Amino acid sequence: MTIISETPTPLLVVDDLAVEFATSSGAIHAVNGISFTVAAGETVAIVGESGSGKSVSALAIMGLIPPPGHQTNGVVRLASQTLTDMPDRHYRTLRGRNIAMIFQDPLSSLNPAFRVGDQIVEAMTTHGTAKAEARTRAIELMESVGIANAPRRARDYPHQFSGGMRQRVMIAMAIANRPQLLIADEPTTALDVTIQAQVLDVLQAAKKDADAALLLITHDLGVVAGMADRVLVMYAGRIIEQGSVDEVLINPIHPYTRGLLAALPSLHTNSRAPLPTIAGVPPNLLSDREACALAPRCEFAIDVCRSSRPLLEAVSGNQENHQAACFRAHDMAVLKVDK
Amino acid sequence: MSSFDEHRQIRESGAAIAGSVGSTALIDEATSELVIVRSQWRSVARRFFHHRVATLALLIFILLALAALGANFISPYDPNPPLTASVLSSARESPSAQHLFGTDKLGRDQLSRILVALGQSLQVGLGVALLSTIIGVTVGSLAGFYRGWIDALLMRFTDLFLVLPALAVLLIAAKNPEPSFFGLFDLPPATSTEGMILLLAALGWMPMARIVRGEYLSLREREFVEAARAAGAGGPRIILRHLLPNSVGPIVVFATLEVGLAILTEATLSFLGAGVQIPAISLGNLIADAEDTVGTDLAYLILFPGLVLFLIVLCANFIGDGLRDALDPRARK
Amino acid sequence: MTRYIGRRILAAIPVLLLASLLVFVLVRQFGADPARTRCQQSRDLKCLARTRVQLGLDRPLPVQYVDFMGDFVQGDWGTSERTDQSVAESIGIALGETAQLAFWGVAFSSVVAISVGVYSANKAYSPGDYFFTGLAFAGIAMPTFWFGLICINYLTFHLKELLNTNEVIFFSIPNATGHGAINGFRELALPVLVLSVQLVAGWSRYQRSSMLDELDSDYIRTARSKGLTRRRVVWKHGLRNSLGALVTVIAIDAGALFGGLIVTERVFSRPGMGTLFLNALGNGDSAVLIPWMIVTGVFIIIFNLFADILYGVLDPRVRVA
Repeated sequence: MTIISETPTPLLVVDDLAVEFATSSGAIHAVNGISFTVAAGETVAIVGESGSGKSVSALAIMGLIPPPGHQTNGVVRLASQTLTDMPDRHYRTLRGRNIAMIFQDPLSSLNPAFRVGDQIVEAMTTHGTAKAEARTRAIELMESVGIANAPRRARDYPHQFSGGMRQRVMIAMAIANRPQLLIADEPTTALDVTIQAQVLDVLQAAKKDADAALLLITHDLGVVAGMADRVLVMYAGRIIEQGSVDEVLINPIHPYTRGLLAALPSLHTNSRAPLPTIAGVPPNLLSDREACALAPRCEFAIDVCRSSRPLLEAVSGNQENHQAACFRAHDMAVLKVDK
Repeated sequence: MSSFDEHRQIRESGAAIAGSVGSTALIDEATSELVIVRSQWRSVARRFFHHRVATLALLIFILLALAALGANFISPYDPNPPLTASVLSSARESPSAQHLFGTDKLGRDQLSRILVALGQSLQVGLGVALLSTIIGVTVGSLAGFYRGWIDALLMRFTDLFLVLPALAVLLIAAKNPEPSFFGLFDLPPATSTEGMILLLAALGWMPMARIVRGEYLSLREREFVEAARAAGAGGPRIILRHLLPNSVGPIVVFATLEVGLAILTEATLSFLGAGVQIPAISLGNLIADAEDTVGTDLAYLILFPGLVLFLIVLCANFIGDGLRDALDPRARK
Repeated sequence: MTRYIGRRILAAIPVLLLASLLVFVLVRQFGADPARTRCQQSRDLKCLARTRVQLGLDRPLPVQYVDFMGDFVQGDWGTSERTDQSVAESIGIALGETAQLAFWGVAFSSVVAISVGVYSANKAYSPGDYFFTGLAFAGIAMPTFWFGLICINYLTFHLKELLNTNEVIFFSIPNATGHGAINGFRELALPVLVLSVQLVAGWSRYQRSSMLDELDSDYIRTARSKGLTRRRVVWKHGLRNSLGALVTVIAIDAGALFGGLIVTERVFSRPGMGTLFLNALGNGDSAVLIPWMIVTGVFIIIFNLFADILYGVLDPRVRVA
């Protein structure tokens, strides 16, 4: 079963991707066969808790899975090119030029020993831009992401910037070559709450400016609601629910997605009451049992959840390609979410 | 999490609980700790033998030590025979089945002489490691636990020695024919093996003290030490029951490396004419004695003692490396 | 920065003074009696008594020390008890010789150690890495004096036989065969090699581990995501950040070489600080030994300071702070 949507020609196709980490106590199945597409110009969000495999999936698309991890199955395609098994000397010419990535912690992600401007320039000269031209463009980019006094600031080192400004530098660096696909891995998690919104605005504008598609990885459903067109919910290395943001956030099917939504603080809930949490601990990724990974934590679990694994299936009577991997999807659709 | 860490945590929390429950729990604490310690040492041994080079090094080290220990029985010849005509007649013989490492300029069997020298080297290496560990752990414990003036004095003292070229200081001190402990009582001169051990340990305990001090400084802030202190345990008890057992890893590793370092230093001093004097034999003075054979057919007289020296130090260092892996798995990348 | 350096220099002075006191006591207490050295070991009691007063040795040790340091800091370092040569002058000449050997040793060793360290970190746990790890262990366990003799034996004498020439490939007695670059190379090649064994062994391990730390960093991933080749990421981004730590170690070790080449100079019969020390020690010449120890101490302190400054220069985070 393929879930490639009816969008004409998807920019990014991820088909049955699996990633394992070899450790002394056995292979850790970080990503267990996920498939999705991203259309040109589209914003797709991947949500899930830490360890759900969302960051590893992003690194797999970049071809930068850190050892001892490796892709064990599946294919990643960008436009017409197959990235999987592409020799690195070819792959690297796509990195930073066709796909660019923004990381979670902008302080550790920028090289402390080089000037900020030079790091942006390097992103361009690597792909053949002349140095002088890259310099001018770096200043323009810094201005475009809202860094005041750019010509002078370009000569500063990362530690001389605030967290939000560093992330703006990362964004400027990522869009320097106007990539087709921008991957942002938790871009605001390491930042102060007060500046998260500003940085997201900058990211949104940069995306438009570069005319790029955005794959946004986050655990923050608020960010998803504000930025994304579609959302994929990941749990234990699998996609367990996906669909348009409106569909998934308003009519979540999977108990896990519901749990995530319930854990979201809102203005309507009693601020004194404790926030609901999802009971239990994330699953052990060493064992890959034939069962729904959420079953031990799920209040709706029935016997079949513990003996076989549910597949992603369209939610009945739905036009917007809303899919969920849950044996009780029909029951859940009837059971409305408490607001 | 490795099993070592788990054991360590079990031990730490066990100690903390026992400390707060009171003396009735002490017997339980002691027995359960014993069990944990035993299984911990077993897993240390397992990890050590997993390091193949270290295991081989340990084997060679033991064989060399046994050969040196039993030199009297296995030596084919007298290492320092009276220079009779028959001995002198077999001078300058190249290595052969009769004389595996050849004979020296006076006809003495080089293998027999090397075995004696090896024994001397091992005595110095092990003696210095033991003595400097005792001094270093004592001073480091006092400085790391009580801080205060002992700590300040230790740190200034080591700073001071860091500014002076170590070999030069050793050479000057080794030249002293009648050393004494601050004029209070006499010490054996550096020309004797005991004197050499004392000298090297007296000037070599400071790194160990700094290591122990550093360990204690980080351990003393941890919960189980706080708990022991809250339960009213005194300084000596905390040091002996909590801090020292948890610092065993770095101490053992460094002591092992000290063996190799002491053997090398003694050989170097001996080569430069300090330390054991002819007719007593050391690897250093064997090489110094044969220095004029460089470029001649007799150069094997330099080759073999040096190879043995190199091998024993290499083994000690590999054993230390294996112990580091076995005792502190986190240190390995 | 200037204030920081100033503060460090001021902090070094008491350490140096204490070290000089230690040296003074050490040499006076353990070393030979200078009066005896002057009187050619004779039992001429009159000569001994006269020289003692003349040299001020009849006064208490603290007074002698203050007196000595007073002269020393004013540049009056006295003369050798054996040769009547100016101590300052012979130390100056020796320093020049040793500096030459130390410079080439450090230059050669740094290049080799950095290359090996970066390679080993980049290819961690590969056969190549294990090979260099083995070599480093061998280097650390290598007795310098023995390795020197072995090198002379095989690379000078046997190589000559092997190549069947009379031409000396390496090592001729210093200053015996004239000057020029070729002779300079022949003289220095083997001592530099021998001196480098332990330096390279230690430094390459150090560089490997600090490089491994850097290669684990997030900014390495960023650089890769920009499309840089792995090689460029390692040699530009990784190396630049890992170098600070190694350069500090190199500077500190280099400072220690001024008093630490005793064995190398002795084995290769080279003039220099080591040879000066061994001669002075053999002659019981405390008038040379004490200033010698203080000078080597000063070099160690200066190079430590230099290491701190270099570290600041290489790491922009420290530089500004």
